[in-house]
Amino acid sequence: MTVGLIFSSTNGGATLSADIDCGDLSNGATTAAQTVYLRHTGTNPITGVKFYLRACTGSYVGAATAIADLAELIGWGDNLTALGWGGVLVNQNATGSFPVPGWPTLLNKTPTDGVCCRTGKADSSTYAANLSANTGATAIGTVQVGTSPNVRFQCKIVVPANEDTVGIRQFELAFLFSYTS
Amino acid sequence: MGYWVKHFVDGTKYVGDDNNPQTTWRNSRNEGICYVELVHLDFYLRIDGPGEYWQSDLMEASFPSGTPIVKVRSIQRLIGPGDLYVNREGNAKMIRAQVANSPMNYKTVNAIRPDQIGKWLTLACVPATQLVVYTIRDNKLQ
Repeated sequence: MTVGLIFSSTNGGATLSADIDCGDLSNGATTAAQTVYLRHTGTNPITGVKFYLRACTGSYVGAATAIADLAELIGWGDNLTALGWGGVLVNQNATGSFPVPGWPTLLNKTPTDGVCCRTGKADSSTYAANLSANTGATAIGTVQVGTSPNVRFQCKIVVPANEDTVGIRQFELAFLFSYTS
Repeated sequence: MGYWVKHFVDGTKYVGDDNNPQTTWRNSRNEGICYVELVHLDFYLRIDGPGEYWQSDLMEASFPSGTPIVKVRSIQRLIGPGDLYVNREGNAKMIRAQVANSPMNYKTVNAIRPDQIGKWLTLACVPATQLVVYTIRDNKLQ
C-alpha cells in the first residue's frame, strides 16, 4: 500500500497545502522557528524515517536556479566562520520543548537532536538524517499510526552575516521511509 | 499502482491491493506461504519456496504535499538451513527466483553458502532507474 505523509502546523491538524514562506530577512538574521507536525496514512507504523534537503522540484520563482539555491544553502552550513555560517537548521527535541541546546551552532553543528544541513549531513538521500525519537516518535525513525500524537520538529534558517546577494531562495525538505502494509 | 499476492500451500491466496489499506501484509495470514508475487507498474517479482516472507516499500515524500513516490519495492524470503540453491531467471522488468534444495532448469543457479543461512533473499524493483535487483541482505527491509 502506498502511504502518504501528512504535514500540519498543529497536532492532528489540517494538511498544509502550500510551501512555507520564511519571510524577508537581512543578512545575519534568523527566521522564526517553524514547527512542523508529521503523521502518515498507513495502517502500521512507518520506519526508517530520514530527511534531507534537496533542490526545489515545484514552481521555482527564485533569482538563480533550484540547484544553485541548494548548493548555496549547503555552503552556508559548511562554512566555518562566524560571518559565513548559516543555512537550514532543524531541532528535533520536541519532548524537551525545543531547547536552545537542540539548535546547531557554528561551534556545534551536530548537537543532540539538532541538524545543520551541510555536506555529508542531510544534504542528499545518501546522507539523510535520522528522525529522532525525541520528535515524539516511538523509536528512532519510527512514526506511529494515527492522527495523534504527531511527531514534530522545528526548522529555521540562518542567513550568513556576510551574505551579499539579494534574492529568493527555495528548497525542499524530503523524507525517506519504509513501510510494510 | 500495484499489489502483492501471498500464495499458500493449501492452494489459497491473499491479495494485498495498494488501493485497499485493509489488506495488510503483517496482519494477514503468514503461515504456509509457498510463493509470493509482487507487481508494481510493469515490474514483476516472484519468489518460490515454502518459508518466511516479507514485503516492504521504500518511499519518499516531500514537504508540504506528502505525496509519496515509491523508490524501491521489494519482497524477501528468509534463507533457511535446508535451502541449498537459488534458481532464478529474469529480464529488465522481471525476476523469478526459486529457493530449493536442488538446482532447477533456470537460467542462473546460485548455490547458497553456509554464511547466507539466516539472511534474506531479496528481489526489488527501482522505478526511477527502471531496474530490478537480486541480492541477499542481512536483514529484512523495514
